[in-house]
Amino acid sequence: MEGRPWLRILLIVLGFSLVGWPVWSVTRYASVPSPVKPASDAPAEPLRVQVTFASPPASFELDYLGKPLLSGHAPDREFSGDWKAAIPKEGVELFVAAKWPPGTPTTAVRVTLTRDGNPLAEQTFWAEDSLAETMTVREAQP
Amino acid sequence: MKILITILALSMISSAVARADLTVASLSTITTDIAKNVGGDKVKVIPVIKPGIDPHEFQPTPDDVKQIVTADLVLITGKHLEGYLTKLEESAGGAGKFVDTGAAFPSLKLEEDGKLVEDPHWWHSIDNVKKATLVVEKRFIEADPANKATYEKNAAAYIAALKDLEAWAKREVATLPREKRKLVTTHDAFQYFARDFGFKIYAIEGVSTEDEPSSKKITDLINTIKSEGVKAVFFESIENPKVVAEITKETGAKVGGELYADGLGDKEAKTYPVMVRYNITTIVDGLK
Repeated sequence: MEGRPWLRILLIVLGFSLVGWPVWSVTRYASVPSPVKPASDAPAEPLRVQVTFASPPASFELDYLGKPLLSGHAPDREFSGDWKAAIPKEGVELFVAAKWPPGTPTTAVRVTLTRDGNPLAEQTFWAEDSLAETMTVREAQP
Repeated sequence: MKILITILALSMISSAVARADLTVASLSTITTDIAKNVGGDKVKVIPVIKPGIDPHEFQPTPDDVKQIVTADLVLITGKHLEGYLTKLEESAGGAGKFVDTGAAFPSLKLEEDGKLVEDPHWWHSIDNVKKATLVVEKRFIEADPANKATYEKNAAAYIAALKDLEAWAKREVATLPREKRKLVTTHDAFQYFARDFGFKIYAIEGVSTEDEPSSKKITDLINTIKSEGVKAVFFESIENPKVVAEITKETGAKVGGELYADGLGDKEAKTYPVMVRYNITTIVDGLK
């Protein structure tokens, strides 16, 4: 052995390898697959919104999260459009604003929301001169 | 020339004050704003509680009592906010000239330490302020019928401004998804706002700023902020923001900004409509 330094080196390397392998295998960085991000609680679905006025408005808009979904003015009394939204358990809110010519008597506005042709929510607002209201839409509780 | 202008200005101010037909003391910055708008130049308004003063901790000084005793009317917000009221009424010789503006609409009731308490912060509902304005108008007319037309005209103009404010507020809040309407504030002062605009409130302290939160309450709140994914925590203009800073550090939520909870302030909340616009803009921007 004394005359074979290469053998001593080999034995040392072998010794380190035997001790080092289990240490490395325990402490090495394990690549764990990241958890799948949960899908949104409520998927976006196609919805249809319809707004009907008893008296034609001078101006009208219906917004969702600050963006206009519908807008228009007299002589039209009915407005409708398609829209896509997810409805979380807290619901979604639509903002309806309208103005009528001065002197218009108390009037009504009907907002109807349907999904696959089935009614989801509907609300009537009464107004004089102007309207600025919100409508909350929630899933029906089982 | 400058001296002449100053004398002229002072004489104009003094003549305006001299023209006031009614003297009204106000125990809230909110009722002060209503009184100034309804009264115009026919009413001298004495703001006993000034902007920045915490009405939960306020106690009238002898000078305040003197002003209240000599006033024709005294406006209060009611719902037990003015804990010293009985003593003041005794000093003033009865409750006759006290106008409880908060009596015009029902109170929200909150559970605190196992008992129901009235929430006195009704001015965070714009609709309540419209009703309080009608109360002030009625009492001003009763006390000073000669100026009925002025009070009616002024009240109508203020209510019209409040309607515009309400429309703006609805439009602004509607830009914030309902699932994000979770408001963490220093003390429980925004329940009327929450009812009107679909928010859920998580308050560090109770209904009064005098309440001290327990460490369990803060731990529960931190857990709730984490589990509900609340984006921002708001502090109040007259409260120490240290606890809020601690909570944001623990939860990773950001500091949403400063809110005016107990009345008007000197800076962004000089009048009621300005305060509402400031609060709502801060809340919506902070939670988006």
